Amino acid sequence: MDVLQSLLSAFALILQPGVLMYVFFGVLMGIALGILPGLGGIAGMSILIVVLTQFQAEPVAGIAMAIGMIAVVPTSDTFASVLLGIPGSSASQATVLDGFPLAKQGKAAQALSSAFVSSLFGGVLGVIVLTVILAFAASIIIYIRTPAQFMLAVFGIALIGILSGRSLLKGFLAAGMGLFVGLMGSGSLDGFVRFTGKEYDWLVGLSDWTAQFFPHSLSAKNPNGFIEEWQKYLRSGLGVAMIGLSMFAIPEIVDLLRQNRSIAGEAKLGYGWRQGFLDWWNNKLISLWNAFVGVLVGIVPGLGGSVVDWIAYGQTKAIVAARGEDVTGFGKGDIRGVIGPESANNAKEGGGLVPTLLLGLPGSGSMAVFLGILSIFSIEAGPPMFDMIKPLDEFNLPGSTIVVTGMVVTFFIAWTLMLGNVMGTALCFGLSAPIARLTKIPFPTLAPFLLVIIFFAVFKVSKSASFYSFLTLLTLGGLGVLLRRFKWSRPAFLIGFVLAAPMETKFNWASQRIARGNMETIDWILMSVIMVLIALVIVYGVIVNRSENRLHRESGLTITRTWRERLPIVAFMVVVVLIFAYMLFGPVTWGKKLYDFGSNINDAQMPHFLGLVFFPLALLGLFRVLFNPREQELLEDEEADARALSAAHGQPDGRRSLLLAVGWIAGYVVTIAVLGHLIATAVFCTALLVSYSPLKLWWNLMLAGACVLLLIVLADLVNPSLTLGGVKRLFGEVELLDPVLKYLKKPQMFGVP
Amino acid sequence: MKKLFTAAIAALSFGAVAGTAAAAPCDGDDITWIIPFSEGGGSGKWARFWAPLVSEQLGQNVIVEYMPGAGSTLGANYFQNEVEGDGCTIFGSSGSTQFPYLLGDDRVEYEYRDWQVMIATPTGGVVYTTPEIAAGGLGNASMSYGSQGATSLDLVPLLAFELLGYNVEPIFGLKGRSAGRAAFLAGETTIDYQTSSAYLSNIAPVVEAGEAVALMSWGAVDANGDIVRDPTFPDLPHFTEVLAAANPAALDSAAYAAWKAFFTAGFAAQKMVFLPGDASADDVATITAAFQAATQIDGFGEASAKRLGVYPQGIGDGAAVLLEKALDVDDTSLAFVKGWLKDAYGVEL
Repeated sequence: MDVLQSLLSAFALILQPGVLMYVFFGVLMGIALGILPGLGGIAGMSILIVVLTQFQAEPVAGIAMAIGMIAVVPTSDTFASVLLGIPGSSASQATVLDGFPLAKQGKAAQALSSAFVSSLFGGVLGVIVLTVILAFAASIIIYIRTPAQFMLAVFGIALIGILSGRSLLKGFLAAGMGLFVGLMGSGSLDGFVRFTGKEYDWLVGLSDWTAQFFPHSLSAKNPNGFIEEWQKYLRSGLGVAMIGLSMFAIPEIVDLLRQNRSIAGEAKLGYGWRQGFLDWWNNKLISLWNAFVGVLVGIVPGLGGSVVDWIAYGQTKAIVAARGEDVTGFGKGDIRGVIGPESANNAKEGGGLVPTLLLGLPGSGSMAVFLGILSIFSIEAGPPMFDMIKPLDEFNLPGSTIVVTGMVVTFFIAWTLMLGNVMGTALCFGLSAPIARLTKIPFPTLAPFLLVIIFFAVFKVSKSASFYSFLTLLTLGGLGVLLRRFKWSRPAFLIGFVLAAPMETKFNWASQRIARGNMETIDWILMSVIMVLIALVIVYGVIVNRSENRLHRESGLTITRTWRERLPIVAFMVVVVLIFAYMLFGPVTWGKKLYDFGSNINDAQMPHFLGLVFFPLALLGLFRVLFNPREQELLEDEEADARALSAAHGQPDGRRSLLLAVGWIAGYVVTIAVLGHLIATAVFCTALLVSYSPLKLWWNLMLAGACVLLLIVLADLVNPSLTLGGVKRLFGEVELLDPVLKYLKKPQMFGVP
Repeated sequence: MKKLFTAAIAALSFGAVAGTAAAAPCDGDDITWIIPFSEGGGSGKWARFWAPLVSEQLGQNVIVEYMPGAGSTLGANYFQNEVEGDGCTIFGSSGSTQFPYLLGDDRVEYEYRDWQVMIATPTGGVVYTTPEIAAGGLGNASMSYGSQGATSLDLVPLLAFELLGYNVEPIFGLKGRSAGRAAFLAGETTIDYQTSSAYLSNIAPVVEAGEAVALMSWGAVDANGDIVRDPTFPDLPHFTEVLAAANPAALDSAAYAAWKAFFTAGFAAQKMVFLPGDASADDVATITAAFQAATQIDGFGEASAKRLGVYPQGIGDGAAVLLEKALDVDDTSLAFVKGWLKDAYGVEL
């Protein structure tokens, strides 16, 4: 089978009715995620992972749904950006600048129409570039083997550290924390359990001490304290869905819970559908240029998601200015300010798949989760995806005669992305009227439903479905809230997490090969080339960063933060230092040879070496926040900024406190511990809706009921085993609710076989 | 007449209700089947073969859940420590779960004798290498082998290679045999083996395409405990034949005795399905019967030969016999293997 044949087989695969339906389903989910606030593409795909594993979806179906979702989010997020002036996702922040003013002038339809056409154009162009690159890469990729793959993972971390923000230190430390969480749990060499704190006896003591307050253990058979049980839970490591939800869903929901504003005004579509298309046609060169910019930004790992629209916006303005045309309309409703970013943000997905499929290097958060989805189907990115010999029967639909190989799967992904873009655009046009009405749903009314879904998802996605998934979600979600507050890159954290496992296994493998003299010349050459690249990228990054910072300082925009203002970030930095201290010094106590390779390679080495890199960086960070009050990037703090802003305007912040919002979620977890999942959900949803939702009381009560029903339906659809532990403990063995639940859970209730 | 009819209906419906109420494990809810490996390996294929058949017989869903990690001890520990005997969870073990248990690995928290075995499936394995090495002669080649770890089921191939005098360097730290297969296909290792089901679906096409060469099977254990040709691969010589041809004296060595003991333990009952010890006798009987009934379906033999290989399934009492074989390794062999693991790989047990 050759490349062209593979391309055609992939096309035949996608034309099967079942596959078309899965793409359609993915697109619909993507549209919902783009429109509704709180959940974006990353959280959506994390939930999709749960759906796929629970329903044992066929690989083709899973990939089709995931790609359908990826394809459409940058299209559908335009609704919120244009109609409400709130970015529907991070990739359409720039669209707000001109899209929202247009909507206020009654021309929302014109803005949306231009945006959709641009999105489609950019998306399709992205796929074409992706396909061409994949076709040419097929013949060289086979030389990239483990030693080079390890180096590539390091390269990925380096790029992400450098490109994810203005502060290199923050980028690296965020990625490093992701690596720490990624290495947590059983190692692959001798199964040694890392970073669960099990080497500290005092934790077990503390655990036993807590056990007297919770005499009935949350786990069925082992009546230990909760810390010990939690350590057991962490032994099997965490999944990408857990990280995706705690980094990208919890912080957003916390932020929205804080918003105290009333519903945005009437979201009217207005007129201009035809005009919007003509606008795009008149600016097709701007669209083309920005689509290429989008692809390029996508290809570079680390730049990814949230900057692409700003780069495109800048490019658009530059082009218009270069033509000698008027740029004063930008920011007040210039349609070109919509066309530019929207052409780029769909195109970046095609570009983003290049390093993801070719090298296993995810360039953005959503690509990192997509790699996670591939891995549930045992697909490893890199050479196996370019194999044209070995038939992968499990990738075919039953009864189909198409021969599927790794290369076909790869092209299938490209075709699906194309189809997803087309379907997504068509649906966005066709459903614009009902979708525009959906954007008016007040968030507090929606929040409990989102939380019920997220909690259920993390509960089911963990390998041992237990209460400890909630505690883990709360802890990591809290970390996500802090990363958001101090403007540390959450995609860097997620990418670090995803790269941790391949980085370690490739390192172990490569070092055994080197120790045994089992390397070929090509391996050495590739390794050296990538090492030089890493060095160049780091040096370049540091130089650019320094000059940027100098410029910034000279511009006189720096603020000096007082001690009081710096206290939160200093406290956070201390925690970061402690994490990396554990990474560095923990492995020393594990009784393993740390600097002995070959046959003595072990599970303590990779964590220790990463500690050697990251601990000094963390110390440097702490030092700088302590002693340099003018350190702009490290001292960024959204809370302090908001306070300064409201002080400057002489009006209160108007948002609820951060602690209160986090407290709601923590409250849900605690209630589950005490009352069990089902009752806790009823209590929590009622409390949240009655407190925050602007609807009438009886409406809110009905919605709370709907929340509980949602949980029961989910449990019934998937696998009916909620943690009823709490209920059992309260009422002894008289499982009060069981008969009710048993009745409700009968499959025929919801017509599910 | 009418009265009789009504009574019959009543009896029937009552009987049906009583029947479902007493017999359905997990009250008719979905049963989770834990496989302590990732999806792509032989255990996953084996479970996915059985699950729909058993679901049909039971009239309730059996859902396979993968729980890989720490050479399968992670999933086994979970089954031992966390799972209740309500019939909602069953466990599929493999030879890789057995070996750490037999060797007294400190990660093992599970106890086979606590569990109730329902079915046991023997399996075999096939060793293959690259065409270049096969052509150049195995005795002269320097080969590498991707392994999960010396205390896993890989103990069997590693000891076999040593007995044959092959120069094989293992590279440890893979997550399952599917990763070993991927490494071979990527050209990173040069010798590998797969258990029968994975070999049939993944490697046989590659061998047919001339990209790999099958060397030998491990053989199969007959009723007398002797090693014979694997019925699934009757044309391939088995390891003992190859060893007898290369070095007949080796058959009397302590090393070969240990190999045979561990091979029998690891492969004669390579894959087993368990319920926890406190599961009710009814549940054990119902699920066992479902497995038994599944083997009676038309076309079962053909389908299972194609996907799992030709092996007699041990069900119920048959499974108990195979389980005893799996747990029975004599002290001499155990001591030999522990010493060898220490000398060859520095593994202290």
